Amino acid sequence: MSGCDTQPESPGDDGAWKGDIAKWALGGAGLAGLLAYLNIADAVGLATLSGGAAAVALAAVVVAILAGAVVGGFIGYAVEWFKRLKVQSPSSITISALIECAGRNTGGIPPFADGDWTFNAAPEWAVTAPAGSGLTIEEVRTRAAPGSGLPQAYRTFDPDNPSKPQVFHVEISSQIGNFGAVGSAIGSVAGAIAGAIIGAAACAAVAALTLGLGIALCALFIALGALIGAAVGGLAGAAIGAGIGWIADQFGDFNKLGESVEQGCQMFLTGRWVTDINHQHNEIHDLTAAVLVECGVTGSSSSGLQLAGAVGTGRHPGGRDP
Amino acid sequence: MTVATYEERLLARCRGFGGWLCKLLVILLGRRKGGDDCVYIPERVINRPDPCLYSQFLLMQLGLPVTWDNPDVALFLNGVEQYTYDLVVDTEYDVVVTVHNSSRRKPALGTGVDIAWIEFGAGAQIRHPITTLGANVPIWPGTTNVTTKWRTPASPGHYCIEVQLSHPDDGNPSNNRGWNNTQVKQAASEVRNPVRIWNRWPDGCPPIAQGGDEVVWPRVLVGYGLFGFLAGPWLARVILPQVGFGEDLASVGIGWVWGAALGFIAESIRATVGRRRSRNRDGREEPPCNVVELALDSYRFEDGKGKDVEPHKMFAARPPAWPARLEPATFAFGPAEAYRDVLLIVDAPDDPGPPEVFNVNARQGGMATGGISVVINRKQA
Repeated sequence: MSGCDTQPESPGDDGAWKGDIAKWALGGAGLAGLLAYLNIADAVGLATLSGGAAAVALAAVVVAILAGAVVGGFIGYAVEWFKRLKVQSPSSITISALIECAGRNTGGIPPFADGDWTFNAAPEWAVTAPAGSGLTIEEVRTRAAPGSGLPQAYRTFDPDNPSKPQVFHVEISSQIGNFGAVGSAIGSVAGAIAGAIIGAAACAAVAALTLGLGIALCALFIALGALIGAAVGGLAGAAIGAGIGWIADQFGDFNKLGESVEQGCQMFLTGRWVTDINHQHNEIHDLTAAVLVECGVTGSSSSGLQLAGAVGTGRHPGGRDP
Repeated sequence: MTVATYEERLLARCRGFGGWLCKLLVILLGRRKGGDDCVYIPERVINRPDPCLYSQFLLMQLGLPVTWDNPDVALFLNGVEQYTYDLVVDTEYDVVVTVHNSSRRKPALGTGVDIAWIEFGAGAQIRHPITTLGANVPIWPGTTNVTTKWRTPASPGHYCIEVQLSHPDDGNPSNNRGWNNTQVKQAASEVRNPVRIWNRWPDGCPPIAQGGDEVVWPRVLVGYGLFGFLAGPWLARVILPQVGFGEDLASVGIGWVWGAALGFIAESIRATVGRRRSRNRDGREEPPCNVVELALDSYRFEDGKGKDVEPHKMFAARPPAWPARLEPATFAFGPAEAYRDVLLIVDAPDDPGPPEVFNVNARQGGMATGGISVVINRKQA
């Protein structure tokens, strides 16, 4: 089951994270390319290579660039994962809103799915705490957090709903994403090193060849080993991390005494108010407390906010089937 | 005999030394109950206790009408309920607070109940503590009454009672603060009643921390600084005829300082531009923090509880019952102005009849700051 998607209004960039990771990949590629070039040049002298040996040496540099990009990309993914959320002031808010979408980012391993519980909150909505902050939903959706580097956060809508309603995103972190990010970085580095060692071992097979071609092939094997190791290690690390994260999630909710929430439920949602710079929008992440006001609100004679008022003052039974 | 639930049996099995290992085995091998993963919220987030009371601040944030005659706060003198208006000086009253719990799953044990009095009017910030009590509130629909004695101050005046609840595991922090702030006037052809509006920010508007306003120091020290660190030795070779170890070492240090200094200037420009764009961003309609907006109505809260409560009737708006106005209804505090008295003017009927209530609700800078309910009695038939 997929989670709830959002799209920022123009000029917001939902894919800002791709650019950030690309920078890391570019940095890794540059470093690896330089390292490969210097090593080959130092070992054999590029000017002395010609014909097939020169082509193989060039291929080794290109593959090393790719390996560096993969390692850089996985490390960048982990770094950006942990610095993507910029906390607002006040850090904790409570809103009352209608749940427009509820889902979980399952169906894969990080970075393809992080296991987070996601919600899209929609009107009728209001900011209810802190009462002394004077915050409105408009301000909560558009004020950029300190340190975000953004002039403003962009309002979001639900792209999967045909009517494209305005929404405010809310998430509960799963440990799958955190462990998966760390695992992918460790895995890609470890995989690259292991792959390079295996590639170096394969050098023995070409030791009998002429010096220039032998060294070029040796470099190509090492680079290929590093590339394959980085990719496989990164994904394997993410999978192992996701598994550990899943177990941590299960520990965190061992009793399974939670509650299911669906579209059409009015809720009070309390949590950390942040700007997600990866998607350039504001959200509550993590949700720390939730009160189910009532489900099936749409079509009721009372509005969602009136129901929230009655439940919030202890006059009306909250939750499912009151 | 009670039958243990699946969860209780699991918990009983996985207690004590090695409990975590037991839980791990259950997680990996066991058959576990659980809702639909796509919408299931873990217990640590949902189903918390939620102690609450009639909170005007919550209701105003929700855009609902309020009364300042709080149904959950009562003041008694010798067993007779009193308004917070015209209290006798240096006299002991009984304050009774009814604490609710909106949770149907978790009792709100150990709820803190802070009771204080504040200056009459709207927006007063200085609290004079009366007492702090504890309350164990059962699950909904149970309530707990907490009672305390309060001796009124020696100086005559009108007082507002404020109640603030607290709980370490509170599921909703927005419904914990309620006021009881009432006044009673006798009807006349024109009732002119002063209402004191306190300035929430007499020292000026609080700063708002927001994006585009910060120098990112890691970028200055590591990013730009590193650039200078690497460029230093190269520049030294361009500038100096001969470079030794000492010159290399110095060029690295000087390069880093210059790089960081250039980075600081660049970051400051970026932050300033961003700050300007933040202020001018599209769609921002924030009222200045010194602007006060007052609203007037004759809303009456009809208390009730349970499935029969109809929220759309409970919170149906009710305009002023008689011709009434506030002078002024909107104004801006001047610098360092502590409060301003506005006039509630009601043209009450001369003939006998039931009393009416007039609620004055104040917002400063868009934020709910308080209010009072004025009851106007008419001649008895």
